[in-house]
Amino acid sequence: MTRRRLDVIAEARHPAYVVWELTLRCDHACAHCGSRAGVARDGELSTAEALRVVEELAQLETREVVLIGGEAYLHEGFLAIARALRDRSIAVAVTTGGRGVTPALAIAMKDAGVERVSVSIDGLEDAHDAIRARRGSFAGALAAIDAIRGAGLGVAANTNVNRRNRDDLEALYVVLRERGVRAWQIQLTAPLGRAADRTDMILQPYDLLALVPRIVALKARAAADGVTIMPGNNLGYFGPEETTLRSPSGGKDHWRGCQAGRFVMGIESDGGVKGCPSLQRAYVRGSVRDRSIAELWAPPEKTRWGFCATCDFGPICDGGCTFTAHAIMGRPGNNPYCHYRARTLAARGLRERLLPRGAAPGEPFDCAPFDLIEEPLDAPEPIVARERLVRITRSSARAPRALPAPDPAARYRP
Amino acid sequence: MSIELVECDACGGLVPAGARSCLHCRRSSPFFARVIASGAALLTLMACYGAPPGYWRDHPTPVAPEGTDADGDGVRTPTDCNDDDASIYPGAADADGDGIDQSCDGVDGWRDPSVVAAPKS
Repeated sequence: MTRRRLDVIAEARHPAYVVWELTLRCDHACAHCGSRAGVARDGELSTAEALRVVEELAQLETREVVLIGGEAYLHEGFLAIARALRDRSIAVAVTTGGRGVTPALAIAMKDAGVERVSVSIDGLEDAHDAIRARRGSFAGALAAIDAIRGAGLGVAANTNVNRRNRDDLEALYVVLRERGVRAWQIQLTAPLGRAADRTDMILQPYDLLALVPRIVALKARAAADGVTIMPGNNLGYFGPEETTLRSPSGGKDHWRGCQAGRFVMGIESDGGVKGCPSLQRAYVRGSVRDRSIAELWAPPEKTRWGFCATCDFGPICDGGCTFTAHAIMGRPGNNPYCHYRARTLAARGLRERLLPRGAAPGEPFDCAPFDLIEEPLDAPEPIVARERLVRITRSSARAPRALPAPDPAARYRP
Repeated sequence: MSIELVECDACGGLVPAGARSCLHCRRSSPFFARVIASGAALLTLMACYGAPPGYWRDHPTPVAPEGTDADGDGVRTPTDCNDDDASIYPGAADADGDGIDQSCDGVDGWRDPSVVAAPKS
């Protein structure tokens, strides 16, 4: 049984699964990045401060920490922090774009106690390189997978699905399988951060009518190949294939509501604590520099409203993913990215469409305002150029230039 | 507040107990059979980060299709040039002059990759 599989009814609330942004510094400047990563935040935690956080996590009985960024390996204390977590019997995983993951770094990660690494791959080469805003990014990600496997680490992949890459899923599965990936996480690109600047990229709620069954079919196919596909928290909910979608393999698992602040915690690189790593800044209750994690960590407040207020599954679903609903609707508790909702509306000959009506401010995890339009299911599809990944107007919106590729071989020479 | 879910025998979809018909396939209530019981209390914690779960259960030992790691140094053949000695693997410290290529770079001692060896005359 995995460390992340637990009985949410029987177990007492604690931060079992922590996603920790070590730095916002990044060697990519991805078009869909929710945190707008590129340059470090002001006042990021030093290695010494991070090591104190490790001690707190151990006291709170954390089971697993996923180190992210930006790129986690661009934090000076990356390996020391991983090693400290391992020494406290906390499983360590890393999520990366892979650009700087050389064989030397992979070996160093293994030596430091990292157990597995998930490489972000957002489509086949054309779509991936466009979304990641860098030619060669796809090849680099595949090379990272090879390096990770070569070092004896567990390797997985994760993919953000959007209108730019949704047609790639089946072909991408074959690429990943042939590359030796045995676990693949798929989630929706939410209009958060830079993705909120590129609303052409964002899926419309009715896109789930075709997308979710495709992912379920792909999951069944993958299971036969020995590959586990799992949905991210913002992909669902309660369509007819719910148990297939949500169970690791077989089983009758189903969505049980957002676990932010219940069993999940996010830590921002400046010490901000929130219930989930993708939650907006408004959910940060304070910094580890000033207060204990136990004092800061809490579930986000939300009340179901709109469709979710009267939904048959509302009491157990609780409006789906909190940060995704907030990103679309400005507050959580009413989530148009819902398979059951799209199917219910479709049965009435209706669908919902997101219509942007302004720009996001340009801060990490920020949102743009949307109108939610209800229209006939067969309404004409808005014409959108496939290749367009152009930001909507915001004079201050300027993605930071990607940093030059790091030289991990120099930094992480054993 | 929570609700009890039952599974529709016709389509397999979950439905709140007490529903008159399946919310997915519209079949009527006699087809509701199995209550989703204790197993469904298990939840796999997910955020949009990290390796998906199931990996360790299904693949307790990550295995590359090629190569072995008989010496347990974490590097498989053919990347590991000596699978019988855990002190030898790419990136290992390579003492100069001991006649052993511990770092698998083809020479004894550290090789400056910027220097191209002149061919022997």
